Amino acid sequence: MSFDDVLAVCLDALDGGQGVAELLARYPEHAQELEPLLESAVWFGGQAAVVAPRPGFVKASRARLVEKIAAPPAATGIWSQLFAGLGSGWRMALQAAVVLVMLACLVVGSSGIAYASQNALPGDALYPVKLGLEHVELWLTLDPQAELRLHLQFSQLRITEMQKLLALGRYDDLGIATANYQYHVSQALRLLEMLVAQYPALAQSLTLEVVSALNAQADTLAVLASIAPEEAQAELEAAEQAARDGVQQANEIGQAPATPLPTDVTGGEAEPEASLTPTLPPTATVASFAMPSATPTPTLTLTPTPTQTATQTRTPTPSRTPQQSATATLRPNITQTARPSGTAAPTSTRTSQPTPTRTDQPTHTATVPPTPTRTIQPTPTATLPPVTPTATNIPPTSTIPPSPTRTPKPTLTRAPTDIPEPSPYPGPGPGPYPLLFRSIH
Amino acid sequence: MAQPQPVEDIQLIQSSQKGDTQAFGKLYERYAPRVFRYLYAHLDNRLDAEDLTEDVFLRVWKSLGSYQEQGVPFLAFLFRVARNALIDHYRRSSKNQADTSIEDMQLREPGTGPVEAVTALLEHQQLRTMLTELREDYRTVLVLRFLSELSPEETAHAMGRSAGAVRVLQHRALAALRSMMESGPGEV
Repeated sequence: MSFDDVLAVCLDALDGGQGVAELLARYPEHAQELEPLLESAVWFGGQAAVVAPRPGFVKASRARLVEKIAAPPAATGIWSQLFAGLGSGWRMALQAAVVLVMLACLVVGSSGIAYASQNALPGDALYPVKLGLEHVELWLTLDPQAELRLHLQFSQLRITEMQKLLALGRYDDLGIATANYQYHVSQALRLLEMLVAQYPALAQSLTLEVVSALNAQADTLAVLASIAPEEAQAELEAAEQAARDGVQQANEIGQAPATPLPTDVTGGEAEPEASLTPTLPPTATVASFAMPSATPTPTLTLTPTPTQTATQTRTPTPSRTPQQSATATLRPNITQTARPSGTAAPTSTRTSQPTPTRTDQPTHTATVPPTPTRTIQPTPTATLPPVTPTATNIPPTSTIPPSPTRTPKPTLTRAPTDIPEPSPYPGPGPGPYPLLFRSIH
Repeated sequence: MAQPQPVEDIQLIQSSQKGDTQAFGKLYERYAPRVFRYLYAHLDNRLDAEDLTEDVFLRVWKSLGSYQEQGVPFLAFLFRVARNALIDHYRRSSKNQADTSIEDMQLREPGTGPVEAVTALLEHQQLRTMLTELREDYRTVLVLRFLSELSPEETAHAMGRSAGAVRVLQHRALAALRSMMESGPGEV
């Protein structure tokens, strides 16, 4: 048996659950050569977790896929869609125009101008070219879902541009980016509403996608606003507001399809409507979408506890502003974004919400979703370095036992400082890959 | 050791070939994670990997009619399609590669908190850095065998090589990986 065969047998055995030591003992004559290879194989196999799909992706995308393939096979590609209906009046003219534009895009797209425009910022001569190409891309995207994602992508691009403008001190040009950002957010919401109406099955996943993107953008914008000079604040805050409003609207859209049912069943009094409205406004619902995949269920059960303290701690949000002067560029980024992680918890609350709201009084719903998200924010932002703030947070919650378990959360807040150092995995320090030997040893 | 195609797979494939979308959905649920891992190990962006995973299965659905189970295991067929989709994706997006900024992280790692997103990205980037340092066939064999959990025979079919060649290749790839772990990138 050649060494390759021995190695192959050992790798199969590893798959079957045998340990490296056991296999080395079985082939002592090859042990020296086998050991490093088997260790590498074990380590590399452990990397499967690093490239694993996020929780919920497979189920959600399965539904999308099945829906796609169940639909009539009419339009598969852009070209086939373009030529599918040729021959009928205005539509033919429109399609011909699209073809012409596409050809123009091909010409323009391959030119240096188009390429150079990709780095253009608001106020640059080539910036209109960049926006024009984006519009062409949007126009040519026939799938509304893809179009929605494009809008989200472009809105993210605008934020990157704002960041660059800030770095360059070009505050006057921020307005252009903000206006365009608001446009893309509104378009994304329009498409979301349309898609949710057409495909109720996709409502949750699409809403989640929009909400989590907008939440992240709002947080980024808040951070930018906190470090920006005064003359840039207004534009950044306007953009942040657009993102936050977008999150709320998206949640309302996402919940919309469920609403008609109860009204019909109850017999159509004004009351059920009243019970529905309370569920929508709380920011908690926003949070519910943002976090699902991030933190597992255990955290969810804990979050309700902070609810009582929520109102007290809520006000500290201004803590952002104190940071302005103190913190440099990176810190706020992380502290701010800590928000969503707190939000994670409500995922479960979201699903549970609809049922109580319809049958019971609104009072129930109010208690379930409240804004635990906010409670967590202050802790990170206000006091980054010391752990003491957590202590102050706990006393109010003292009535409820789980609060001690909550304390680990502060570790999140500390992370900003840790970020440069990859992660505290045990293993041999030498070599450029500190994480490498994690699973071997 | 050739692994026989699971009976249930054969039934699902046959039903799918007759147009049963739910049967294909089950195949998707069963194999999408492996395809995703293969794709994400080759891509910088999680969202791209998600889109491409769906695209791979759409392609498989369209070409399922021409698939015959004799000879080529379904997984091998699936990963051939995945490989082609990946190549197409590279062609399409080579000019659009953007650098990662911290603001992108949560978008790229949707649904996670900032700390988890950063950690996940660091780990992923480290893996990507290392894989890109490896020869293409080493990278493919490692990813197919250890991340997508294909058998040597399925890997051989997916790569269009003999099982013997894959055995040799995985030996060399593991040795290259080991030496990189010890000495750092650029040495292999």
